[in-house]
Amino acid sequence: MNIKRASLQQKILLFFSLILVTITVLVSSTTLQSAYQHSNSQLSQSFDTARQVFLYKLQNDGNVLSGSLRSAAKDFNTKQLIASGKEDPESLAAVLVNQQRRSNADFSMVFDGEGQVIYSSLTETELTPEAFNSDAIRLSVIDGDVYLIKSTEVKFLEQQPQVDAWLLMGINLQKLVDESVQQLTGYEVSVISGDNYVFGTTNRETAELANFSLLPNATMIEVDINQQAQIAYRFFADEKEYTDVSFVFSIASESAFLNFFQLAFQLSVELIIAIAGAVLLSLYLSNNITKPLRVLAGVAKRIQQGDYHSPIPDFDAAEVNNLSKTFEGMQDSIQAREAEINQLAYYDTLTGLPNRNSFIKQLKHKIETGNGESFAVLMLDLDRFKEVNDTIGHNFGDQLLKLIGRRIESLKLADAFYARVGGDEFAILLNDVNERDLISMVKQYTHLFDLPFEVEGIHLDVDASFGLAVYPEHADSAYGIMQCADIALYKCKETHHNYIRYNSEFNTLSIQRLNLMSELRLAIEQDQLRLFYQPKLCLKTDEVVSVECLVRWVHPEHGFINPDEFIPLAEQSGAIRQLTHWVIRTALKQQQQWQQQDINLQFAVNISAVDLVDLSLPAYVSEQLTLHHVDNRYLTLEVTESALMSDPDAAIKALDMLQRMGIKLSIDDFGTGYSSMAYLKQMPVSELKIDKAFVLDLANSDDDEKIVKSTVDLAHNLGLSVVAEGVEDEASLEILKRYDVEFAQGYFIARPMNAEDFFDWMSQTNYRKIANA
Amino acid sequence: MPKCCHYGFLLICLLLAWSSLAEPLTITVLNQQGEPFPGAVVELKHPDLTPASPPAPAVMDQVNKQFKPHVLAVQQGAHVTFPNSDSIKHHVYSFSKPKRFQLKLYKDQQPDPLVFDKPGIVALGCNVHDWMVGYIYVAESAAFRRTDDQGKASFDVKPESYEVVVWHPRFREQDKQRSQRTSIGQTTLVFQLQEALYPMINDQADEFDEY
Repeated sequence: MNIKRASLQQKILLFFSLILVTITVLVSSTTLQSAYQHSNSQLSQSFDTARQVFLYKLQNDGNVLSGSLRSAAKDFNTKQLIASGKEDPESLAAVLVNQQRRSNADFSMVFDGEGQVIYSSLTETELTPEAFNSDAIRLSVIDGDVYLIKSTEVKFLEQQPQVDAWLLMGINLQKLVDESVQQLTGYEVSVISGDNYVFGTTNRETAELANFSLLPNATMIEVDINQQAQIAYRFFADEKEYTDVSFVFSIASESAFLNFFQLAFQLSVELIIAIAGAVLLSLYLSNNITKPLRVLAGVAKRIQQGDYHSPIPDFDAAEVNNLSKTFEGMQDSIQAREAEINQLAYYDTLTGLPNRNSFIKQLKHKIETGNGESFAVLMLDLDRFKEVNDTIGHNFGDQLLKLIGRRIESLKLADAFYARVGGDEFAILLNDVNERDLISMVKQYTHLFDLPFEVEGIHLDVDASFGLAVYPEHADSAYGIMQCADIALYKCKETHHNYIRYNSEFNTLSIQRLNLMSELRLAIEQDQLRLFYQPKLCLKTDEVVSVECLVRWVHPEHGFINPDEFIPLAEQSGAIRQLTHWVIRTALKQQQQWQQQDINLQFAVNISAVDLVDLSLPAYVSEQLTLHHVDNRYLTLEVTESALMSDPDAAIKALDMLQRMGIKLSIDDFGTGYSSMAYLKQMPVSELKIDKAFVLDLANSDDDEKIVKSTVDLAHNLGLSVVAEGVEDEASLEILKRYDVEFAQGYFIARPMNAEDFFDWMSQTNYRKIANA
Repeated sequence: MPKCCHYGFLLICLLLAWSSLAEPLTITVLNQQGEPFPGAVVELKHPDLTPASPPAPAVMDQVNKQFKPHVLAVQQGAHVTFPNSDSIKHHVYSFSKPKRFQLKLYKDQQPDPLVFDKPGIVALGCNVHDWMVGYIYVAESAAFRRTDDQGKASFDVKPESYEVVVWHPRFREQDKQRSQRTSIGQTTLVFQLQEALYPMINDQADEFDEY
């Protein structure tokens, strides 16, 4: 398991925590945001309301002043004094001081109808009375103080349209905007004139408030005042054309947002608690989920290590328990399957005897534990068992093998261990042997085959060959001793003895055989192979019409190696394909060369049973023909009769394809296989080659003569031409001519020769050369 | 004042006119819409028109809580009496420059007449009744009169160049201050108001009580 990979528990924990944190962050942020917005809009509303209240108050103060002014303006005495103000200013001043006091005003002025000042309690002003005769709040800055100012017309005759004089009074705003206003609005109020701080309900330093003038109108904004975050809100009481006086409400942010901050704090605390709780919960949950998984992982590991017998615990959770039960089932079936595999691995299913693996295991065990104690391996192989199988059937063969196994088993000698180590091969391990006993024991086994075997009512005489090897005399390993016994067995088959005891002389040959298999491919690559050419003579025209290409292996160590020796090996190892390809390639190359030298011959190449099922062969042949500019009909492929008849249906298919390509096909070694006439007539061949066994001694054997005659008749009747191989004397050649055999091949005509020799032979021979095509 | 005196004065004027002129000078006052405006005071100013005889006295009564007449034109130096025909108290006053005064008037009490010796407009009010408004036009010339129903005022004067001043409380300032001058021998002058009139005060008709 990858250690870097996050555990399920971590993932669950992470997942839960992520979800929770996401949700809480979302919820809290939206809550806080909306709370903040709510607070904000509340605050904004509160500022608006406070402004309205504040302005209402100023309006009201103004109205009071106006009322007071109007009643003064209507006072007869006052009018009279205003009318005579220029002649009697002192009386006018006296009455106005009185009126000013009544109105709670801080200064007063009187203008005549033309706007000329008649009286003023101020030393210098530039006020025009008309502007202040309004319901609006009119503010003006005089000598650094802000005044709320009102004026009223004075008409000597009330009904008269014309204005005779003006009365104007102002109240210092400090009297109107005080502590009570702060209580009324809930905010500190500062009065600003232009950029200058005039006064406020809370005393401030002028400089700190300078930036108030930059605040937007009627919009709340956060500013720092006295190093404290404050929310400020500036507004004008009057249209700006009349005055530059504005007001600022301010409040400490923390007071303004008190509720919001409390809420945020509460939420944070709750979130932290929730997250902590969720983490704990997901820890608990993930632990609950992963613990059984860990236990089961442990179980699986145990099973992996080969312990199939421990009980698997139960779990509460149904799913996990199902998994646990599945593990149990798995463990049981692994156990069962292992037993089955063991049976298959170490026992032969047909005979019930131990198999080759089992035998080798036994040998190894014996060698490991026997302290060099001597023992013998007796290998036996049935003679011609393949024929039994092929002729009577595999089922029959199987029954026979069972009987043999049973018969071997019945002979319990010297703690013997028996095994069926191959198709018809049995091995016997003989323990604690001495030389004398060994021979008698081996003989007892050979005698097992004296009596016939009865299978399905048929009595069958079966012979077997025996090879014997002794440990540690012949080899000191299990495989070595097996190999020695095998070699002895093959030797026995070759020599037709009852049994052969291994001799180290056999070994070199056998090792060579093994090596050859691997060396053959190398030989093809390294060009150790040679093609030899044996001519075929047309008996009717005495022309040399074709050559058979025969492969020869000149091994750098072993010298000349007989094709009979390495071709079966090549067929077994699969190297035959490359070999066949090499032969075809080389033959066609040679043919091309000779054609250029005016030698036109049919080339016959041998292919094996394995080549027949090689689907790439036709394509390869076609490719090589084209490459070497050789006409298809100049190539003959020879297949042995036994190769054709081992799987006739497949052979017919393969040959059909080649025949359609225009390649001539020939049945080689005819007469040694077991040709079915039914198949033979279907084979798309044009030629039969009579096996040399019937030709070699043709001149002296009546039997052979009869066989050859009937074979030739058969071939001719099937429309096939006939080639006779192994012609070694003139008498035989004459017989063949007599029987209308078309072609002959053999030492009498010429031996197989290499290309140079053949070329020389062709130039010297008395036989006719084929006319140029 | 006995009516025969008026007639006598008139007769003298006419005789004077006839003796020297062929036609009298007629001033026609039209409002902004070109309609005749009755009741306006028209005064001709000329150094020759200084009054030879003492000015006629006049009366500004208070009837039914109104000044009667609403507009009174007198010659400079004229004596004006302020009787109270109502059964209640009035407190007549004026803060106008030509004549500042106040009179507390009681029913059946006749105070001494006041002399209006400076030319100009004297606006009268009653301190008790704000709605009461009256005007006394103090003319410095002997030739002044109010326009008739056709808005005309005719003067038998010598053919001279006169400054013609027209006044009425309902006139706006511009019209009030505007004067026109006639050429010698001119017999008619049309004085058309250039601005709308002030609205009438209360229901007070500007009637010609004694003409």
